[in-house]
Amino acid sequence: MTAPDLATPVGGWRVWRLGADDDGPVLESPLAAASWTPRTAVTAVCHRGCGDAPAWGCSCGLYAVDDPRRLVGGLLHHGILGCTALWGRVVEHGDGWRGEHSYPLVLFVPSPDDEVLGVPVGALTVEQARRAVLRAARARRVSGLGETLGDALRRRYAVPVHVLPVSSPGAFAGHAVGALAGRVRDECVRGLAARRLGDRVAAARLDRAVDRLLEGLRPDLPPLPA
Amino acid sequence: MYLGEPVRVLHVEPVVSPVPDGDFPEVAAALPEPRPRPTPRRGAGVPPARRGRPRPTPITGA
Ligand SMILES: [Zn+2]
Repeated sequence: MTAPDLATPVGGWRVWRLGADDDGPVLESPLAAASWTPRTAVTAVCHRGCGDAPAWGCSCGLYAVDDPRRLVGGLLHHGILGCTALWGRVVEHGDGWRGEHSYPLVLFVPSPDDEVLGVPVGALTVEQARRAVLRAARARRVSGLGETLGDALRRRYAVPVHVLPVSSPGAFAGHAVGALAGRVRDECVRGLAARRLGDRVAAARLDRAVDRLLEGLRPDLPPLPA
Repeated sequence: MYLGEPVRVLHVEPVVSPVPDGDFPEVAAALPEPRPRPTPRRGAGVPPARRGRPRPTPITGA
């Protein structure tokens, strides 16, 4: 038996596409056909047959990067961004990690403007996902008809959900927010145990780090001093 | 997605599970609704006074 190298999870940035089931929105892996079930850890499976995913010489595992500006590709422009915890067997790379288990720690939904509503997000558009939220609320006969996409994700995944002041996570690329995003990533994992035990100070610390990042992304504010 | 070259393998065992176990990090745990107190039936008479221990008679001038 090997002694663990870390007693806190590794935190990294990633994107999800949006799906839905009978109870509302669901996070899905952007490339593999895999749902991230609320309140359940996702475990990596290798389709090439690695016994212990993620394997050193393979591409399997659950991916996360150290800086959201590294996230590239179409999904970044209309996905759900977040910081996720990785644990179990974790292969560290120069720019990120591949993990065995993962669960989101904080999520960011794009601001609900017209630009984002019509954009396909995996199987659904954001607008379709919003309608799925309403249908789920009606089916449960709860007074949640005004529940937003962010509310529904918060209810299901039980993690903080914030609205980006921009219409897509792709806007990260144009802002000098690397250090601010790094503080959010650090605080996500550093304060995890305290937040889970109900420590409001730790929760407020993460909120402050997120607020600073969101301020840095607002197009109507001057850039923050370095 | 390209992550760069692999550097090392870590074995990560969080002391607290990253998966919320029914809790809600942003909201304090809710207490159950207080159960309604039983109310006397309409028309029920005033309950007889409880017979307590006989009070000692104060003794004066002892
Ligand atoms: Zn593999």
